[in-house]
Amino acid sequence: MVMAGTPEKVIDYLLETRMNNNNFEEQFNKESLFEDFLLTFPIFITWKHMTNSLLRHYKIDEMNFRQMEDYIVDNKKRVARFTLLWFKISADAFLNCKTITIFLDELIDLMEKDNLKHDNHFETELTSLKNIKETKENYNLNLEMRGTIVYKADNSNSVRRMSNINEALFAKSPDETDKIFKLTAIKEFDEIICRLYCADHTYTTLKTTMDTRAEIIRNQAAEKLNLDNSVDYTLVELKSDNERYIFNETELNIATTLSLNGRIFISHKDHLDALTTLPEQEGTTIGSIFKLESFSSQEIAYFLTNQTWKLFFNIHPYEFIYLVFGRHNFNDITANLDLCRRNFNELQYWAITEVLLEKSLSRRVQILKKLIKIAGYCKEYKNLNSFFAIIIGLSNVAISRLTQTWEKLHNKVKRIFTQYESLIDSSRNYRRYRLLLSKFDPPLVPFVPLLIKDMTILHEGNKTFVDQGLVNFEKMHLLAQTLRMIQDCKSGSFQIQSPATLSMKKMNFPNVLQEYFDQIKVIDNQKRLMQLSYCLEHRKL
Amino acid sequence: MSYAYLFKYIIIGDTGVGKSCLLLQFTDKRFQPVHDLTIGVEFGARMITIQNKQIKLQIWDTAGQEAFRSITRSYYRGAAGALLVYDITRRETFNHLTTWLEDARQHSNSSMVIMLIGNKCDLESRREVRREEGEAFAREHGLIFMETSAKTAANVEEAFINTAQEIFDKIQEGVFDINNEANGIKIGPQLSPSNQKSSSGNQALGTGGGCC
Repeated sequence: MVMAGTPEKVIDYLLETRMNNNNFEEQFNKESLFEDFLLTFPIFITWKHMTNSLLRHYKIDEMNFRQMEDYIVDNKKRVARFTLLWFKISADAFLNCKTITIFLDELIDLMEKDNLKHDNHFETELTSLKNIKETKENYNLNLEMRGTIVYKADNSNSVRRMSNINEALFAKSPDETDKIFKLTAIKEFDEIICRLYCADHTYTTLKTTMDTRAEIIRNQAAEKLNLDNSVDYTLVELKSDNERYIFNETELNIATTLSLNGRIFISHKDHLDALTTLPEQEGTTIGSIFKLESFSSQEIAYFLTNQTWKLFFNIHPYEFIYLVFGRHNFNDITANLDLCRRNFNELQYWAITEVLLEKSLSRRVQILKKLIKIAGYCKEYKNLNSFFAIIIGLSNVAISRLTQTWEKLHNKVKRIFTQYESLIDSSRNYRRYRLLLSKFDPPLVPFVPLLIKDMTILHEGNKTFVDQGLVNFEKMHLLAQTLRMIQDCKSGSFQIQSPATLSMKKMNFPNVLQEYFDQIKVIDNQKRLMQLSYCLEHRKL
Repeated sequence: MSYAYLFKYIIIGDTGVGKSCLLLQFTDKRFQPVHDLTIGVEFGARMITIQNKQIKLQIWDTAGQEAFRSITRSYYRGAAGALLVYDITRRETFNHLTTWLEDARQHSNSSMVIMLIGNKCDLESRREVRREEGEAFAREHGLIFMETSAKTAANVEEAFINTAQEIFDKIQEGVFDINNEANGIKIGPQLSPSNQKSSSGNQALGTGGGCC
């Protein structure tokens, strides 16, 4: 087992020992070293560096012109095999990478010349490489047709895709091409519209690409707002509970990383304390779940599951790496993961908000019951992310302290809730949840926050480099286990049975629900939630 | 190994203040999430001795879940101690202490012991928060205070053990209800008579906590 090595040495080693012959793919599936490497390489080597390294290997005959022909041919083949597996693992990230375009062209070009020189020895490899190139061209073509997708984060609602000509892309069920291309996923050139507020609550609206750095956003905003450019301005997130987070200048896609009711402010560095929250950051004062009266819990869970699945499916495993190791180190976005995290928080606070905004005890009990039922169906649909979002929401102190409400709940439902709640028990590192997960077959949506936690703790607890720049492969192996698990969860086609209760006249129901969930407003300020809770059932002194 | 008491801790604070590093330094183990479910290894646990009594500390690290504040809240419920960590080289992390503290107080039982920790004291040259400021904050809010370095291990042992000592004292004074596991304390095999059971009759919904 490889424990540590320089990136270069490990590439050498993999080429020499793992790319032996035509059954290299079989070998690849049998052991995980190479897969671990490809799942984690962005941590310790850039794409450019990797392609350079491969090309250097390919040009072995330029350095060692006295080598045997067999040896040279074999080495060149190994580079081609390496590339094939790289595409297999990196998938859409590979297709999306500009460095790869240049690399493939050069590699194919060199190989064609070598093919003539060495009696057509490279036919098989050439065909495979050309196939990848063709896939990549096809991908670019599809991207062009897809165009830029615009998202907005400019009002009190959440980050939403703007309706535009791409509607058809999102409406159709994903076919095989989309599974590889992920055309509905957020790409770095997609745009986002967001508002930037001044201390006096005036604002300007900016449209930027997803990968725009905070520094540039700040400068553009300062210019639009006619701010004195001799002053040191900074961008800060002001959360609904008045907490502020300063954005580093190098931070990317800041708009998708905001907390639910958080807003971006531009302010003089020394005046951050003077910022006050906008009234709209309170969220809402009226519940909305009554709008869902005509839908069964199963129908709502069905909708939530399809929605969450799409969000989860679109996340590239590398996004977890970028998030945990810091986006700015990679200059790459985590927008798909951000939206999935956001969706989790939104669902959670939606559940809390809806219960707390219902003043009538009997109706509150009904809402509680309905939410527990929705969670139950989510679990049945193997959507563990939404399941936990609702259950953790309902375990919030603001809800759990409502003794009268819980007392009125049917004993059977109470027991079910207790049982659900026990699944998020953190003891022995979430053993219960992990056992539950192991009983499900993929595809499924796992509990995403735990994936981030696992990777963060692995990262913080283990050095990336051990002495003199050697990559700690034990750490990479551990990280890859989580990343592989994410990929496993996505395998197979995700098709859940539409609820049987669905009558013809409700065929349109996903759209109605989509509209509802697009517009929900939630309260994410814990203090405010506690106040509401105390209003419903007074504090015992 | 048998123990007299088990204390549950939670480590909180901003992203990147070194929560995991403190824990790892203290438990001297590299973290590995449990993938082998059959083993169910416990991580973040260590035995210590206070007044000749074996005490098991079970520490819950919230690293990576800072953006899911509400998940963290669900851990307060069963915690007897909390380490609230900031980074002395990043003023911002000190400024956020109030919110963390309010959150902890609101969601834990009222006797939870909170230790304030200014971490990374090995980076004196990059210090942004003076030691006195940490002390003042702790005094104002009734916390124990300590500056640590997870890198050099300075004060790390003390941070965990002093917190345990304080919890232990509170047990002796009868402040903690040790029969209620929601308080984050469990009586171990060393002390508990075999037939003693904690009273958990009205805990069916887990509505514990000193919030009501």
